[in-house]
Amino acid sequence: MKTEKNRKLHGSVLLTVVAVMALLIIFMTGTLVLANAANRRSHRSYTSSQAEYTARAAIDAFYRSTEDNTAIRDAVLNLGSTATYANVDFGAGYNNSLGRLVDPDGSGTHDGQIRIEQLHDAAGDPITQWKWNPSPEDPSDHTRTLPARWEEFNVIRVTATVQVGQRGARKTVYQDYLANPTTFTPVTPPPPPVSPTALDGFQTIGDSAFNLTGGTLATPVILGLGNSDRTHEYTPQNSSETYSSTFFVNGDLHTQAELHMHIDDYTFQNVITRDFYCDNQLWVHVDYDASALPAGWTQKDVPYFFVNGTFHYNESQLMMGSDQSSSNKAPFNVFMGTADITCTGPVIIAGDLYLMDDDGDSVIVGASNSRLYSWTDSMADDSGSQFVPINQGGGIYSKGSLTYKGGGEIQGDVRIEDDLTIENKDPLTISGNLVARNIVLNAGEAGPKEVRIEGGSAVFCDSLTGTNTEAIQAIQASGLLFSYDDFLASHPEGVYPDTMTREAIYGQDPATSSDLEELFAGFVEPNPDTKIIKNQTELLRAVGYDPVVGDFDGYYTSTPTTVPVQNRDNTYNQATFNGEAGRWTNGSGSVVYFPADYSASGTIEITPSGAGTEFWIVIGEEGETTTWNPETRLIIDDSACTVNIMILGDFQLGDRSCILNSTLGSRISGQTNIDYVDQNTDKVNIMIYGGTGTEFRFGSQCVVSANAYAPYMNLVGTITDGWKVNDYINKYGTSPNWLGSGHSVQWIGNSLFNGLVSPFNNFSFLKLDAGA
Amino acid sequence: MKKKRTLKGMTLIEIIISMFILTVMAGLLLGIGLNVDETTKNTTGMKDKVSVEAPFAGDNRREYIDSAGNVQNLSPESNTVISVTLDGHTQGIDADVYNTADIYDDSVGERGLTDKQDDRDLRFIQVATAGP
Repeated sequence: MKTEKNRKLHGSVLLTVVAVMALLIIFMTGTLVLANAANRRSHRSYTSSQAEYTARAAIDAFYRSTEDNTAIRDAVLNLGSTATYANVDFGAGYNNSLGRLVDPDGSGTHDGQIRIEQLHDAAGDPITQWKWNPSPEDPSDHTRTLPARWEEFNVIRVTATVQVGQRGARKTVYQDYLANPTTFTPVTPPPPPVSPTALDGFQTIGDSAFNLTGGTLATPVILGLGNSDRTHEYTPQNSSETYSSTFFVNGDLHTQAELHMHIDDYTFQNVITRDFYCDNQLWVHVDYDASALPAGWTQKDVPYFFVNGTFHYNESQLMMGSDQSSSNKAPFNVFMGTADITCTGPVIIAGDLYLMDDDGDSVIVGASNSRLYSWTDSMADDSGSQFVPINQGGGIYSKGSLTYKGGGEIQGDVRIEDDLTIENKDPLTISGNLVARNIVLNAGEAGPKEVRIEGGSAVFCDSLTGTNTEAIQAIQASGLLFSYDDFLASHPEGVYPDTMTREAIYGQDPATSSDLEELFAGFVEPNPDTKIIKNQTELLRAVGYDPVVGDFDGYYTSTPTTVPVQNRDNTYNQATFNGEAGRWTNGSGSVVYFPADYSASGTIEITPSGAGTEFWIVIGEEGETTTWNPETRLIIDDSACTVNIMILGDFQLGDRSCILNSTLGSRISGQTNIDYVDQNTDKVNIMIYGGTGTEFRFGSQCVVSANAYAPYMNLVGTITDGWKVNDYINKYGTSPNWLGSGHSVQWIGNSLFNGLVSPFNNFSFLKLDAGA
Repeated sequence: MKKKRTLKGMTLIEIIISMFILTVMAGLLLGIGLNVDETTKNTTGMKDKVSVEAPFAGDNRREYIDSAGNVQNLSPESNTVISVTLDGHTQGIDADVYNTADIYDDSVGERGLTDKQDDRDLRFIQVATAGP
């Protein structure tokens, strides 16, 4: 048995050895195949890279030829709807290992050529593109740069295909470059017609004191227009209410008390050119009727709150926007360079929030009931235009980084071009897309809280990390996590919309500007197609500032030597004023002159009887102070013609005095009361001019109805109220929310002074349009 | 009881054949192994080469830091004039051809590349920036 068994084992060792070796050989052969495949891939990677670099060089050379050869450039500019081809010969110094140009179309008929084509839109029109160029090259001298500007280009696509080796990779590269250098046209809007009647509300030129001790400003407010370096800080002291279509502060605004801004009109514009510090609560009441917006409205029509610098806010709550409990979801935009918002209570913004600083590190801290509300439930206009709002509002767009520590709800997108950190101490729901370079979800002070992405939206980022692992895992498991580039691929407007950058909507300030001429020369206007924000230079132009002359057009700083005067027989002629026209205390006709040594009193009624020309009243003398007695009333009939008041030297109104037009003068009741003022029907046709370096001083409880065009004269307030207006009906048909003791008013009309030197108590200003 | 010899060893012929087969197979294995080793080295070398050189060639960067920490500058391997012709109009564009081999050699060294592969360096063409 044993012998038989052992015989069966003959050769088994050999067989085993051979089998094992065969298996080894099979494995090794497989390894060799894999290694060769990897080797081919690496070689293909090399040839593919090389082909790409060579193709790009061909495109670069072509681009350079369009700059250096006007005939080639013109040929490109005159491209029709079909593609054309250019020969590119790499020359004698060319190494064949770089590859060779082959037909971009693949047919072989255009080997050695690249393809050039003008891109067209769906309608067949050439596609052009505006670009902001911070340092354009001077075409006549490539070593120099021109001032920053907007440029419009034709979008040209150049395609090159290169193959490296006979069996190497073939790579096609195209580049859309912006041709048509002949249309490099700086966008400089023509100056608007210069007219002092462009006065709009309460305006100051210099670094005036604006230490409001409370009050109601039912008027546009423009402060510090002539400040070129914007170093002044405006500090309202007590609670104030504004009903302004324009609220423009050229410098820092530092509120010490509550500020309520009422937006009754979609034309509302709030601009703070530097930082905004709030030491008390800010309320922005967006009360306008959304249905009043024009048909097909765009971002240009949306009222806005613009802080060019940092918005510092550390209060119990912040409310900006319309009341979401009503059906009037009025669109509203909030622009800030950087946000520094910390609230123990809710942060509520019913609109879109744009954070414009590239290097800004914004922080928003709010309670669980914080909200960024959308302004509509659906978009009526989805035309795809970049300037139509890109979503339904309630979103955050940031150029810099953002740390969000609030809970609550964000009903729009959160789009951050930099990094985003969310440390939500309460659950947070985001109804739009969440986009950022890198997203960090950390557990907040109350531990990890839910971050819910709703409404079929997604998360786009390069990395998603942090200590809030539950939220991270939930997003990862949702299948809605994509790369940052994926979002860019499907959103041509960019993460932060290109048309909503500071340069696009506001312009670019010069690095320094020591005076207004330098400011005008250095300020780069935005593209008019994307401009939204009021800026300093356009407001200066609007009030007659001429940057070439360096002064205000139509401004009188001394007595005009020749004026149209009204004679006693009610005829008019051009007369030379010599300062001795007489003393007039009451009457009509001719020039009315109040010398400095004449102290007016009582009621003075002046009624120009002629129409169609100007009438002049001269008060005081240069270098002298004119003081009127208490309870002097100057009532001027401005219905027939414009009445000009020239104030020479300083002028002191007596206590409880007034300068009113006859319309308001007829409504005087009691000692210092006016029955009502109606902005819809009342106008004021009195112009006040002031000498250089002079002061217009108010006594206690005074009021003036006029348009003051006195950019070198200061208005001096007193710590008293003005006259009381029993009722004021603004153009929206509503009465303002009066603050202070009664309806105290110091000015009715419009004014442009150098500054408000000393604050009024409960300073109130009612806007009336200029005119008869 | 005499023990019967029942086990038989391999014959001499079997041993010779076995040795021959083992020798052939071992040779094959060795050859394949060496080939795999060389291919893997080449692959690694090419990957290294592309990964080191591509960022420079891709961005037309001529400044790099060598293994000693010194800043070095690439010199053009050759100069050429690229002729661009469109609609009968021709423009010559001065250009330099740069070889990024020095960057790889200075920072990594020639690891496992055959001579043929060592010649395969990424090159880029820098079009002159000066205008007319």
